[in-house]
Amino acid sequence: MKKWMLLLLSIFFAANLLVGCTSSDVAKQEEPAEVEVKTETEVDDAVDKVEEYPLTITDAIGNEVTLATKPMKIVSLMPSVTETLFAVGAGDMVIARSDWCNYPQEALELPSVGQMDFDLEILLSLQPDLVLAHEGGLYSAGDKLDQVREAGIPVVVVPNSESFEGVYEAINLVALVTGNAENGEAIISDLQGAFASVIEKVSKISADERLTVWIEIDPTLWTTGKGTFMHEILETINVINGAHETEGWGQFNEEDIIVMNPDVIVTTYGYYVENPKEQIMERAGWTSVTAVEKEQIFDVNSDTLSRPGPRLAEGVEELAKLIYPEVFNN
Amino acid sequence: MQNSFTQKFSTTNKVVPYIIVISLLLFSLLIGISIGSVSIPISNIIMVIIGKVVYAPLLDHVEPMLINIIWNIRLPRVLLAMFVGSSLALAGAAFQGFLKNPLADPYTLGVSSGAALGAVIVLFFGITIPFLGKMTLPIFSILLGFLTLLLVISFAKLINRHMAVETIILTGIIFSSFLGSLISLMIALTGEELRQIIGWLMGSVSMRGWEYVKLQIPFFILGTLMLLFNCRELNALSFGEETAKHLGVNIQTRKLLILLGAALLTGSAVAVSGTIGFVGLVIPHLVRLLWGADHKHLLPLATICGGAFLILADLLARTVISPTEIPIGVITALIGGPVFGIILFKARRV
Repeated sequence: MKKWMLLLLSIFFAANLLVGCTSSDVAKQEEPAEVEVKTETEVDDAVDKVEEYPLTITDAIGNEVTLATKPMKIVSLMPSVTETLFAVGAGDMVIARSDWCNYPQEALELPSVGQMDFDLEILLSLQPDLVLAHEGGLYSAGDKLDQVREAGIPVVVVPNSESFEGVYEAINLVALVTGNAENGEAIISDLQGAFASVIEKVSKISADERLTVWIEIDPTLWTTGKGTFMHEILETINVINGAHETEGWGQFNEEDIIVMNPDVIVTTYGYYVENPKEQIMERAGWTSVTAVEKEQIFDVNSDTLSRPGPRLAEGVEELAKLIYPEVFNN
Repeated sequence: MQNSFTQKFSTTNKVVPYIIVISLLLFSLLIGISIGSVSIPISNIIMVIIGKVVYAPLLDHVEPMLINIIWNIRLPRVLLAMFVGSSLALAGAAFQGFLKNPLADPYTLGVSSGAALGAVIVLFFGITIPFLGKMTLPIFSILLGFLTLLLVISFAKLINRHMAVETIILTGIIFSSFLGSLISLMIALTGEELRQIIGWLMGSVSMRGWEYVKLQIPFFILGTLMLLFNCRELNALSFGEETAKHLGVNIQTRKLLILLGAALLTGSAVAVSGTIGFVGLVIPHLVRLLWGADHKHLLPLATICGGAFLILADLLARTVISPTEIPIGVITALIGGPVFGIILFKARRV
């Protein structure tokens, strides 16, 4: 029994990172509202522009990576990176993805190299000329990436995004290495515009009208506290994160949530646990919680919210609409 | 260790230890219910309990939120911790005597691996049996725990008709390892449920509510009675099977009864709270070191102590870095280890 406790603990902390790449029922996903994949002509324009290859960039872990020519066969190991690749118009250069990459639809048709801990042999057999990894996946793939580099394949590690700025940086990097810098800038300004309009709407909520939200990322009361990107999103949309005193990820005690008395409960695990709302409504002792009394319990598609990619604005807007429907209804 | 098993059972007055452990249990219960995210005055606790059980109008004097917290959250949580702690300590004491092995704990026999496998299967496949609802997990877990016990006992009997102690230990270890590897396999394959599975394996009594308490009580009562009625036989067995035979103990039947009783306790405890370590190993040794190895007193004293210990461990688990919870298994090991070390050192130093 005890032997695998240690192993478990290590997987466990690693698992927190996996939350950033939840895979959900693709069928349930709505079509993207604002971020569109660039049309063929635009891609061609970008290609026609003389890009500065050989290109040398410094990636998230400080490696200087030099790309001799424009990469044509890219393997992406992170859902947010895959989404960004397609959004900036490099979709047709992607030849493989990870198990978690479920968006856009075209990505699903590509072969997979496995989970975060990818299958090295499959990856090498595809002979990519660029592997886009992610800082969030290093704990399980770090050593394998060394082997990829030894095989002579350039690896660029995209940085973790712990803020909106970080998201822009990541998008920028992906756009830059694939020779789509302009498209990257366009997506970033779209995102900025979308965030600004959400922020403008929620700013009508005065300080004492602000609602307290309990974010539940699994049924055993795990939540996201200070220092997490989710926390920053909540702050941005003028919401009080009920777990604002907790650092990072943490498991909460039931009583504290009842004392916190959130106005709204947001669950992010509806795609693998049935009826989260009903389950919360049935919890003994939660009847006095405002969110339960007023049935303000929502499940959000965590992919758009948890992925620091081009669809983030959708996720943020969806969340803001659920919490403050009144300011969006005009 | 050897001489604690073979020392003369003292026949001195045993009233004092009982007074000590019962006071300890009452104290734990009281502070366990009173301390938490909100401190609840003892008067309110008493009002809510009396109000809920006999005289409803009393409830009008207490805030609804407090009633909720006391009655629906804290009370079932504290009681569950008590029953689980008691079950594990009692089963551990019985196994240590029965197997004449100071390293035995309630998990030695593999019942817990079966129960854990049941729970992990439910989480992994997201099974919900319609009329059981959220009780699917503990019920499934108990069933698998018992299936494991039957397999272990049948297997041990096949090898050796008399069920020699070594055979039972070996069989238990083999089954534990095998089932443990199945659990590890599911963990390796799991995606989203990982946090739930690991949380469950580290043990917790949070978010269980009255249903879990009601589920465990019958097993607790049955298992406790089966073991307490066999304390004389456990004494005889701890001198060795030959001696026990000469003393006129019906070895086969008694052995089965003891195994079954301890398995009832272990399986149900694991099913409702996960695999909480250390309680079943340390508490019986503590009690033995303090008050001797006579099972007639060891079993009830260990039962009461185990309950108090787990209530206090859970209290720490939910308050130390509140509002964040620490897995209770971590607390039991953190406290149990050093305390046990100190006591062992003091008792053994010659």
